[in-house]
Formats: sequence, C-alpha cells, structure tokens
Amino acid sequence: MQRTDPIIDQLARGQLSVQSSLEQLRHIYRRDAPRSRSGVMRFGAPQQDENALPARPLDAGVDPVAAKETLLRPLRSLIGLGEVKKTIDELYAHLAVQTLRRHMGLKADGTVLHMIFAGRPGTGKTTVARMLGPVFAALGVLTQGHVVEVERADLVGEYVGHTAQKTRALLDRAMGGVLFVDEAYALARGGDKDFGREAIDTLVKGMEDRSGSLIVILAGYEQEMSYFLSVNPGLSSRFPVHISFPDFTERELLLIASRLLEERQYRLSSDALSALRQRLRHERSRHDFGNGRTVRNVIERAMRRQALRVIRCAQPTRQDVMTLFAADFWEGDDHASMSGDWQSQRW
Amino acid sequence: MRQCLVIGSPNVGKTLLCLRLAQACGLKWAFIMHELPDGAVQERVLTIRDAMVTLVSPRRYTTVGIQTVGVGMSAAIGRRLVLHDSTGLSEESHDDALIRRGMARTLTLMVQTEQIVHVVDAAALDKGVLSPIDTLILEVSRERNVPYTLVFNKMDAPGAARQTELYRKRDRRTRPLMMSALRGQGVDDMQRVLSRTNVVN
Repeated sequence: MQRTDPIIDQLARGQLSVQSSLEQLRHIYRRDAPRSRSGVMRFGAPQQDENALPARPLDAGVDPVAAKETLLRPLRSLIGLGEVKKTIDELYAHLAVQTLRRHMGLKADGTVLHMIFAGRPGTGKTTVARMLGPVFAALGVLTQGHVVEVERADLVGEYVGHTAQKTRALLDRAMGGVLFVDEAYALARGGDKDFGREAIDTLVKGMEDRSGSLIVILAGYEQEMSYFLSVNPGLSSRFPVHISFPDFTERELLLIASRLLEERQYRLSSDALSALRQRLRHERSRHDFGNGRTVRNVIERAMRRQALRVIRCAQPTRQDVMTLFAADFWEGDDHASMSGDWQSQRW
Repeated sequence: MRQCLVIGSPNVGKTLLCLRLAQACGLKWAFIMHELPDGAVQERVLTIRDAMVTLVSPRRYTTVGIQTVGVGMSAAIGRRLVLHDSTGLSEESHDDALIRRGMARTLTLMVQTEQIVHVVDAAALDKGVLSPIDTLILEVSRERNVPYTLVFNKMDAPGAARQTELYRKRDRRTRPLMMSALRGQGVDDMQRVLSRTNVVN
C-alpha cells in the first residue's frame, strides 16, 4: 500500500479536489526528500511510519464529521437546554460543511459567530460558553479556543480613556478565543455619560478589527438584553447568533440535583427525594430563582446540615456520611427537632 | 520501455502533442491502447492521420482515461518511449465520476512514471502565471525528481507569445519548450529533449 493511494482514492471518490490532492502529494514528496540521498527517488517502498499521512487534508486537525460526537459530548451531557443544543448542532453542521468545502477547494464563507446568550441566571450560559471554545478551536474557527470571562467592572475604567485601554487589553487577551461578557446589559446602565458606552464602542470596534479570530458572546437576562440591544442600534446585527436559555423544568432541576449528588458521592434517602422536589418547587416560584445555581445551593446547604447531624453522631458509618435525609432539606427547622427526627429514622 | 506521462489541464493539446511526436519519429501507424476509467482496455491501430481526426477535438475531455501511444524514439539507442496521454486535470468536472476516475488514474501515473511532460496552454496563462493546478503539477514533479519538461502549447494562438514572455520574466529557472501541436511547430525540439533525457538517464 503506497502512501499516495489514499489520496488518489479520495480523488476518485470525489472527496478531495484536484488541487488538494496535488498539494498532499507534494507534501509527501517534500517529507521524503531529505531521506533519499541521491538519484531518482525510490517511491512506493513500504514505509510504515506512525506519522503516516492522514487521509484527510492536513490543515484541519480533525475530521469535523467524524469528530462531531466526541467534540459535542460535554455539551450533550448537559441536562435540558434542548433549544440551545439544537442551535449549536446547526452551527456545528454549518461550520463542518464549510470546512469540508474548503478541503474540496470550494469557497467557504467566513461566518460571523458573535453570539448573544439570553436567559435567567443559572441557566447554563457560562457553562455552554466554556464548552464552545474548544469546539470552535477544533473546527479551525479559532486558533486557541480559550474563554475569557469578563463583566462590567473588567471593561469599564475609572477615568477618561481608561475604559478603552482596559477593554482593548481584554480583547487582546481573548484573541484566538472567546470573550464572554457576563451581564452585558450593565454596560448600558449608567446613561450617556457612563463609561459603559465607551466600552461598548471599543468592543464593537475591536470585533470588527479582529473579525475572524475572536468570538464575542454577550450574556444576560432576556429582557435586559433585548432592551440593551434596542438602545444600541447596530449591536444586534453584529451579533447574528441569538441563543435563549429557557428556565429548567422541575424534572430537569431534579435531574441536575441527582447528578450533583452523584458527583459528590451523596445519596438521598427514600423520603428525601420528595422533600427535595418540594423544596425545588418552592424555590422555583420565587422571583430570584437561580435555576441550576439554586439547585446547587440547596444541595450544598443540605450537605452542611447533614454534616452537622453526622458530627453529633457517636460513630458515623459510611452510610451515614453518604445519605441525605428529608430533614436536611427543610428550611427553618431548629436543630433539636432535626436531630430528633434523625434519631427516629435511624436504621 | 520508458514510461512518460503527458499531463496538463483539459484541452491544452496533450493528445495531439503525442500524435505529433509519433509522427515526428517517423511512425505511419500508431498503436494506441485506450485504458478506460472502468479498467477496460481497448487496443486500436490507427494511421496517425486517422488518429488525429478521431482522437482530437476542440472539446474538453475528448480523452477520458489514459491513451497510451507507443513512440519509437531513436532507433540508434534502441530504447523506446511510451507516452501516456492522460485525462486533463481540472476542478470543474469534479462531479463527473468517470472523469474523476480518469483524473485519479492520471495522478497514479504521475507518481509512477519515469518522465513527465507537462503541457500548458500558453494563451490561457494569466499575466504569465501558471494556474494553481499547473503550479502544483510543476512542484510535485520537481519534488519527485524525475525528468520534467514544461511545454507551452498553442503558441500559434493570439496572446501566447506575450504570456510566454511574461512567464519567462517571472520564472527564470524553468525553461518552457514552446510549440504548436496544431501547426506541428516545435515538435523537433520536443523530440530532441525527450531523446536527450533518454540518453542521460
């Protein structure tokens, strides 16, 4: 099997353009050149080196179609977020096809990928942004794929001229990666005299200058974000990808809770599950409900209560240390009754 | 038998060049083996004149697959040359499976043959620059380190002389051989170059 065979085979099957096949052939000979000392090169000698040419073109590290599942696995493992996953699937398919087109010698357009993530707190905006960086890097859209998370205080300076300087420094740091601006609407909060406006202008200017090597994601509450975009004409057209993060349903919240418990190696007693469900339903109706974050807080609070209970116990077993009871999820109970409750349920 | 590949874009005159060479070597009859892209082989014996009529046309992709023309180069040395007249390499016909297989066969020969003759339509050059595919053919042949001849065909066409001049200014290393297969000009030079490389190697 010659090393040129896969290339020629791919050309015959129409997966490679004539130009890129020739480029790959040239690449093979370039690499062989220093090895052969003199005369006409012996070609086709069976050489099995581990860095044999991949069947795919060289400029892309991965085959975007084959690597799709691996790349998107972390994203898929997130609970809920059906709409978000669908949008990202679309984006991925588009970018993968653009990569394929490039390999086949066709024109590939440079899509603008600046995004807006709108959703209430705790709906996974930051988490998704962190996962997108490596995916874009693997697809060759970004060179680094790192995610720089900033908020208003990082962008806005204290005196005139300071803001542009700070913002530009952050843009430079995010080069080749993702700049994630959390609570972006806060930039427009202070009115016309506020430095926030300057930060927005610098941001937009920087995006234009560095287009193609940087992705900016603005994140914030749905309503505030739409207000923010409405008072800054020109912004929404520069951020063509709009992904909204819906609130989690009760079932999804429970799934999140059980995954968190699993990760932390805790388990629920039989009555604790319904207590947790009740607690989450109660939290969900509150106006300051923080979705995933609230779930984590509820769980962590329960863990602290359980710790308090366990430490009073004479000889805690493995089971005791691992199990959360219903009482651990009840808010406002005093410790005496909790302890009593626990004793009655001891097994 | 020395294997020589005639390569280039579609419709640059590869087939006619092969037949002219055969004619210049004094052949009246050409033994033509036509290897179709699906692997079938067709053998024909035609007079050169007939071959020029049937095998050459101003259309692109008259030659699909590989036509092999045996050419007796110089009787004194007693070595003979086999010209592999190949399917033109071009991106545009990429969706035609038959032509694609023909192009793949061309590339296979490109990595196997002992000599490469690269035919370019001189009038189709843009400001004296080779097309990307032609540039790559040139580079791959250089990297392979086999005898390589760049031929500027269609020198009779308007603008060809000017483009050649421009090309020479840009690239002093490669000396293209100029000819017009249609008029039969420059075939002697071609023959000389081929027989010379025959002797050297």
